[in-house]
Amino acid sequence: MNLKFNNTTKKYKSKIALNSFSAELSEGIYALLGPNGAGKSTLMNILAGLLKPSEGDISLDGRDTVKMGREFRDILGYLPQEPGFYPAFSGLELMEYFSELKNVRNPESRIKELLEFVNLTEEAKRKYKEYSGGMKRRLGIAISLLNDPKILILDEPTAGLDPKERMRFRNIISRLGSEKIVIIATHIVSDVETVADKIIFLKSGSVVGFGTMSEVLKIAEGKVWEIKTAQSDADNYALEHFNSNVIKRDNDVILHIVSDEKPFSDAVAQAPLLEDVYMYLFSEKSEKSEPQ
Amino acid sequence: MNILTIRITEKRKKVRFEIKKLFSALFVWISLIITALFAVFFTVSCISVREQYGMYEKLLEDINKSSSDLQEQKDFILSKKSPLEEYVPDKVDELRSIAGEYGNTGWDDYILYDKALSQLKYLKNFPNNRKKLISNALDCIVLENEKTEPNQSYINQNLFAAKKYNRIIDLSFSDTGNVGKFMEFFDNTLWDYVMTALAVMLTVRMFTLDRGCKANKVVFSSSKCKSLFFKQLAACSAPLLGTVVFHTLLQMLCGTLFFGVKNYALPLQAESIFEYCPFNLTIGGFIALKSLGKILFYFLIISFSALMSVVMKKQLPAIFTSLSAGIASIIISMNMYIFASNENLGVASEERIMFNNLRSFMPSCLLNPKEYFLSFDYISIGGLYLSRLTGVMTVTAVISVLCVLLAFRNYARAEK
Repeated sequence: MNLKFNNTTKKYKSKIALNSFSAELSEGIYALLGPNGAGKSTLMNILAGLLKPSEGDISLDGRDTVKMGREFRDILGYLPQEPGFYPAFSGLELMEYFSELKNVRNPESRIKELLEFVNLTEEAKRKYKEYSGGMKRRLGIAISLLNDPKILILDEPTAGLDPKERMRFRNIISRLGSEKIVIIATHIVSDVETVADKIIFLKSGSVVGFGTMSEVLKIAEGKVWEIKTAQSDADNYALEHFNSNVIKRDNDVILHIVSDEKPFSDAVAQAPLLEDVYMYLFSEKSEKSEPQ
Repeated sequence: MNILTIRITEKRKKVRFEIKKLFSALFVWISLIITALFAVFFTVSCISVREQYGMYEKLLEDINKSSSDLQEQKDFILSKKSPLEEYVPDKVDELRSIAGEYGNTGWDDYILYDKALSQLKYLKNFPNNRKKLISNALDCIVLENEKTEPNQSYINQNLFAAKKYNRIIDLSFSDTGNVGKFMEFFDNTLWDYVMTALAVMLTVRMFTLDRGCKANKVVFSSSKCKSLFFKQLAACSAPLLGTVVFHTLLQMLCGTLFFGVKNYALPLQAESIFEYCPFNLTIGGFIALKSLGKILFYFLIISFSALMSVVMKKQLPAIFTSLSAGIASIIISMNMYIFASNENLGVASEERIMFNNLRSFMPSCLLNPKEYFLSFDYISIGGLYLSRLTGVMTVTAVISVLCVLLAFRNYARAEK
């Protein structure tokens, strides 16, 4: 399976929401990382067929997804950002409703299987309006998986979830298998760093980084520093270096800084994490300079 | 742990979920209660002015037994009525105190004989009046042909009228009940406004609900999203059209129970107000056509509201546009009707011609359908004669289909 984005562009009058996005995806889990307004949801909506691109197209195994129409929707699962369902329906009724809409064969067994998968079997008969935020997300994931999609799009799937629910979500994603193309759009790095096979960094509608974890970590190689300092100096240092993370340890603090140059003579170079790459690419400093 | 039982039958798969979506709002229930209250109000109104028909039926039975000849029947009635004439008008009170043969009092009998005589007169004159209509049409043709440049269209029109009226309509001397009266209670303008508003609200809710609760992206990226359109259309049409059918049946029941309309198979012309109706139609057929007209109008409102909802995507603008269009069309047709019904205006007055033209294409005129049955009501389109009723029904159906097609085309379409 080869999902190809060919210079996919979305323009709104003078604003470019997505700028010539080109990528080739095969089976695996892809994390689409970027701050709010980077164009992630625009890309997801175009892929889901809800938004027309201004230029370019998307093809699956050489076939235009728009022309594929229902055939493409048959293999698509989409959980949009902040989805909502009908409050008066129970979780089970929603599953039944969407199994019909998604043309699911043998819906009974599929619904059972998915409710167990997202741990909602016991809550299935409760009304959707009585669900907690986490339960709603899990139900959303179950609904997006109803038709056993080959392409699964999850847009900000952990927004508003507590740490326990986010961990549960990561476990669900990691069990999805390797036969699908799973695209997770998020700005929460920790949600994807352990599950994603490839990372795409999107900034102002353009790709600023794309590759496997080890490939993207190279972006911030030699740019991550740590310095141990007293609490009293930490605030001043942090103000000087926007891309810094203050880590408290006993009476001292450790400043974790992402910078092109060594910030202090006694700063020690560190191996970058995905969050460092994110900080490096989307820091205020790099906001001012155009990304390559 | 609960044992989850999931059973999805074919029936459940259909419009049930859409109906549930629709009825999950409180306002839908309130609207339905309002329509139910209207039904109760109409029924109570019918009961409050109910007319006694059993005694008239008995009189007609005796008249028909006495003879089958209209003149002899007339003599029979007069023989019954003449002894009572001496009480009218000076000793009516005395007549009210005498026991009647058919009614409770002599005065009741007097009224019944009067009614029988006027019905007899109508039955007797009906064939002659029809003949007169035909001969007038033929005379017009002869006169037009005598002109140096005869108007062929005028000739054809008269020829067509002559053909239409040249039908045998068998009017027996039987009790029709009061067809005109019982319908008045159900032909209520306020009710038309309520139904129009209900049609708009239900349809707009149905077609904006997915977007309103943010389910639209999941719905529209699903494989059978397009087919959902027709399910949603069916879900909001069903309660509305069901209400019209229910009201029609209730109307017929009230007609039977309180206004003596028992034989719906009688020709429409048996009721004197429809003497000049050229259609070959029964009373039941007339009521069915009236309902069909209302169904067509409300379906047009549903289709238009669906189109507005799909195009505008937001609830308030869609409600405002659809409601404005629906209510405005009713106001225009109602006011034109009142304007053209002025007794001082002749049949060929400008106002009447305007109203007639409006009736040919304005869907809201279907809410006042009696007008289409009172006279020779045809229009010529390129030499082809079409009843105004057929014309307005066709126009309504065509606009509805266009609205549905346009709404379907834009439904679940990728946004630009």
